[in-house]
Amino acid sequence: MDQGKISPWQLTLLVMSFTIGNWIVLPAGTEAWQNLWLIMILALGEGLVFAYLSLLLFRRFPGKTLFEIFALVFGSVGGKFLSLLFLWFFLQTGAAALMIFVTLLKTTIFTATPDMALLVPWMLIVIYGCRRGIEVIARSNEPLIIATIVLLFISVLLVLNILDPANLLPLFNLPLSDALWISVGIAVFPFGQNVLFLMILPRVNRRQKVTGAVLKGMIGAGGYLLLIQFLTVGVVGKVGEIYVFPSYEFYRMIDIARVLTRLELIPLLNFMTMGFIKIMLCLYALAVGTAQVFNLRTYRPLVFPLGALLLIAAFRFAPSISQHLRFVEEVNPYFGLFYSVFLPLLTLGVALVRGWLRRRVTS
Amino acid sequence: MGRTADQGGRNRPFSKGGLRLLMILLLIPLLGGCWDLRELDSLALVFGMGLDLGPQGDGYRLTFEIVRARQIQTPGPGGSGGGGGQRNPYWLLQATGPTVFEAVRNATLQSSRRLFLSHTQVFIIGEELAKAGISPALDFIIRDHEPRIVKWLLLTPDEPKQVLAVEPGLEQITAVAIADLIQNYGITSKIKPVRVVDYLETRMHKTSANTLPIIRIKETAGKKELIIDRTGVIKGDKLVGYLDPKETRGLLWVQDEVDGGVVTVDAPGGEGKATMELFNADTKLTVEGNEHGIQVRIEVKVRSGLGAQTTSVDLSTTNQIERLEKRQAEVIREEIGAALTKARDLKADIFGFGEYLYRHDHRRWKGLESEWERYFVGAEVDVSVEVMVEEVGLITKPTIYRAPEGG
Amino acid sequence: MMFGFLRRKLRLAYLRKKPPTPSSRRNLSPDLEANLAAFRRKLGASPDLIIRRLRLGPETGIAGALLMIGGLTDQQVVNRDIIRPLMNEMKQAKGKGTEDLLDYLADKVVVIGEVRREPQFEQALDLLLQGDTILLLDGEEEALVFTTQGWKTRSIQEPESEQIIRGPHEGFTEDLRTNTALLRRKITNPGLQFEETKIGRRTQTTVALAYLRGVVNEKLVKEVRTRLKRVNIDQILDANYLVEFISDAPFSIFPTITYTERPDVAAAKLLEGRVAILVDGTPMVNTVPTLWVESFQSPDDYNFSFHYATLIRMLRYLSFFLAVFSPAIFVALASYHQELLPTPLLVTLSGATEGTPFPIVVEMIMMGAFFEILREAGIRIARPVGSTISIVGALVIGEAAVSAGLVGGPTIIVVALTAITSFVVPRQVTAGIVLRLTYTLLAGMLGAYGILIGMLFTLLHLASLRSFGVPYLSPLAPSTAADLKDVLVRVPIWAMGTRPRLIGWPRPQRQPVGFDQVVEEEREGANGADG
Repeated sequence: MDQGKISPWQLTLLVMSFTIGNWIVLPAGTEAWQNLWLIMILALGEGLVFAYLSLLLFRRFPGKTLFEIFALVFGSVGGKFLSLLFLWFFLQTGAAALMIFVTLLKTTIFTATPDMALLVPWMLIVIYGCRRGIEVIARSNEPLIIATIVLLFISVLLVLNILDPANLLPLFNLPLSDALWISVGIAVFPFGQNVLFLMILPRVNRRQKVTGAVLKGMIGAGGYLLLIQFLTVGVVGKVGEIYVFPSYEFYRMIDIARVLTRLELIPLLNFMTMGFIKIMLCLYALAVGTAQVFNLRTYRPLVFPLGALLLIAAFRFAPSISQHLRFVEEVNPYFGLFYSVFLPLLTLGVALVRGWLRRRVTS
Repeated sequence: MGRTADQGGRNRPFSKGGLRLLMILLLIPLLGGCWDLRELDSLALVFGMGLDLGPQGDGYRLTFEIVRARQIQTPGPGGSGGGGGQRNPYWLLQATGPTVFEAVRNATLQSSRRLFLSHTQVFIIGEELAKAGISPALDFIIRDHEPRIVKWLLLTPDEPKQVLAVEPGLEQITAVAIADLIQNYGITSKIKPVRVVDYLETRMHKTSANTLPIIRIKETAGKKELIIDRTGVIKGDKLVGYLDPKETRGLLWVQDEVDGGVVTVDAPGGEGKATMELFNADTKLTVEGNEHGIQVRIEVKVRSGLGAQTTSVDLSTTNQIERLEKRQAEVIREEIGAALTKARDLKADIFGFGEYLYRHDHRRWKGLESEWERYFVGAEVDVSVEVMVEEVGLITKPTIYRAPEGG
Repeated sequence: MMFGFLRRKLRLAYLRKKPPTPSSRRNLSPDLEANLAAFRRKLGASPDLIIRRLRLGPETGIAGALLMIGGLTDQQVVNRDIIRPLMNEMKQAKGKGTEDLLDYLADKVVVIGEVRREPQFEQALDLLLQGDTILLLDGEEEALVFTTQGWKTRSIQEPESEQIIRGPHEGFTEDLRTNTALLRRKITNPGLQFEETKIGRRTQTTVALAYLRGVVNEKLVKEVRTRLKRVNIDQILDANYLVEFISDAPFSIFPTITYTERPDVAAAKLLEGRVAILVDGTPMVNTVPTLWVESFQSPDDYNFSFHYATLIRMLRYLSFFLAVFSPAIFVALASYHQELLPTPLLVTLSGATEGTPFPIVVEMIMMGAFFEILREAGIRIARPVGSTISIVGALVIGEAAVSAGLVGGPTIIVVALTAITSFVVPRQVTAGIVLRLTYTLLAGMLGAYGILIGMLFTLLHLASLRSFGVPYLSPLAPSTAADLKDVLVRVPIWAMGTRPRLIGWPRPQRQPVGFDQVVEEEREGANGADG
């Protein structure tokens, strides 16, 4: 299919970008405002556990993509069925991310521009990158994620004078059950979405390093998101609860000596690059997956039509921000749990059982 | 399409069909034009915005102070400051509407250019509107992406339009002058500068009351000037009372917002005054609560120096310094006391006691929340002020020094 | 009439496809006059063909003739070392006996460094055209060819486009042999190999590959050879003709094959494991593989202290960034993102652009185009007037444009900044101009979002490029930490212990790191093939 190879380090960086992706502009779980960063630690832990399950699956079937594993474990028909389910997941994830970013643009800068004018160039670039293969995506990602991390450090410096630790209190004013529920929500979005990488892991050139790389990426991304949340709460305070895009407002408040002010465009563009990577990966998984389902030789010709599909899906899935917010709050935890935890667990279970049965037969 | 270089083939980007399709796609954005493109000379830069009740007492009336960019240019042959045929660097525009947003849109009917709100420095709210409720007016300012919420918020008893029409002193635009004024006052700790976001922050705490500086027009010898000498207390969303300068200072003390400024005391051991310059002030606020009420501890530590004196006594001796310190502490305590009294009168928690409890002892706060007014008024407040006079300036004895009677 | 049109088109297509006729492989005939006639016919009675008849041996002796092309041969050498000995031989009229006449002449008589026997007519003609002298003897089927090249070439001077402040000021010339010699002087190592071929059907230009055996990746050399073989072209007048044939990404605006006119630069690249391509007739030497970051390196960097060199290098990256992005950023800020400008700046900008008739996008493109015109004119104009035009053009016309209210003052400033910074990184100038224009247009359409789209497209494109198998963005993109020591910074020379990983991997270690190393006694020796 795609001959490209990526290194474990590039995988780590990809996981980071993907996880940061669109969460950074529209976090889930803002009801818990000040406690959010604590809950995130919990969610990261849960997310790592979920990821480990999926990685076990890869360990057991080294070099195979998720769909190939399905075919092996559930047979050709069952495998195809599950693969189709997952195609839907990829489509959904990509479309949602796309819609978030376009909404962000429209709310903050381009109030009059029609959606298409924003979506079409974005998708063209995504399609271009996807066609080039995972190697190119990984290579392009390197400078982008480095820039994101550098930006974080600079942000920390810039907000030191307006950070008010008192804003972070009170902690623990949330009932535990609520906190747990929110943490699960975050564990599946964004951490759980990394199950997508099961389509990409076979492309890594050093198999043994894969597990470590993915987990490292998630921890890195978790740390990043945590810090951003921490800073946002500290700077913006309770007002952040009502904001649709809290981190954006956070950057609007930076003001050093009246000179370094109005800087919010740079982080905005930077967040978008993370979104690009995420959507590129979603489209890639979608294209490669479709090609595998239909036993095609290459995924390349599919990228363009699937990209168009993704664009249209973005329209249909979340035509308004309110619908999206509702989806994230009410539907996504179940949706994500199903795909990130239940299905991998099921696959692993069946695979183990089959293997055990086979051993019994042959012994 | 051709194989990419990654696969060892030559980098031939497009097949014929692909190239054509790409061309078509690339032309799409050009078809419609650039929707959000705003040429600079199609914008009316709004520097100051005034909000007040509409003509029939409902709706809103807005005043915009718009910059005439050409007149701001570096001083040319015409000299500075609107002399001889030059137009005013700003002009005022008024519009009304049922919501703030609609009023803004109505304003564009009168302006040849689109109103651009991103650089609004001050939002001035008329007291009438303040008495009716501020938050609905602010909704547009927060919700829309153009206005920035880190800008200043003020009240005024006069008409906002009149305020914005006052001839600015050193600046060219009144709104800029007002913004500078606020900051200067803040440095001398005479008012508490409030940004929109600060107002919101406090507003979102259920027990706290807001304060906003009040700017008004003072006419001296036919000339109009702007001064800020009072603070308005806003409970819930409505203006309920005022703090005079002394009470304002008290508020600042409690909230640890004193950064500089002066305190004038009666000079010990003689007639005349001594003015102490405040270098540094730290206030530690502790609020504790039990089922019966709350206990508040306010500890103020001040470092100051002798700035000027009108008495002939030598104030630089250790004795005198001690007395100066005591007197200063007294003055500060009085100010705080005055603020507390007024707040209790108005039953408004302007200091943020509730906020403190909310943060540090959330359960207790939840218990007391519903009857907060009562608890606030009945709070036991313990104030302790510690002053340290570190310097006396460049000289010790005043030039008119006379040895005190009896040594 | 119609058919005439069709016929012409068909003939054109046919001619395009027709393979070239193979050259005839005819031998020289023993008949002297026949040979001379053949030469004259092939060269079309060219006036610079010199035929010097002589007779060898006593009495009437053997008829012979020397052929040479005037202007290509070193006449002194021909007279002194060929004609005179032959004449002496004629005088002495020694008996030759059974010795082969040609061998005798070659071994004992003529005093030339390089002598060959050539039986084939076409080859002899080739060599004649390269500046060799040919001796034809009546009765002999072979000719003797003497190497007597001695045309005038430019002396060795520093190339104008690659000047540096400190360091050697030598540059390649148009003569291939001089150039190979210059390389030899830089790298006195038997591992330095040259391979020569002739490319170009009509020009028969000699093209030489150079590489350092033991350091270079043999597969790379093979790939270069293969690609050069594929070149089917009429003429090679400059190295760039070749480049467009063998490049990895012929459509990309970024050069995947870089050039240099400096021997020290070429030598350094060879020592890293690269292959150099020298073309006779041009001082441009190409090196492969090429990385994007090479454009930002200059030999000056290594001749100054590493502190300064690092700063200057960062300045180059900054300049490139400015050159490409400043017009776009300015357009985006002034047209879409006015809220991001600090208030006083916005007011000034507003005042400055008030009354100008064009949108800022148009202003920017207009002034950009104007500047390019100025630049091009400055190159073509005769030297004394040239600099005047640039200064006059820039200052006066810019100033006048502002006063007339055609463009705003800030626009001029941005264009001037762009102009100056675009010269800091010479090898990316062409790419830079295209990028700059594209970004400006995108900024005009979609503001900063447009610039983002353009930037991402560029990034993806760069990331997908390879130059002879090496990813174009290394060591930035497949991040190779060890190689970053010479990208953004320039670490001290004693810390440059390793060669670029993807290029010089056959022999990764240059020397041990550290500046107080003891030079070990020669084991394999500095002259060994360990590079």
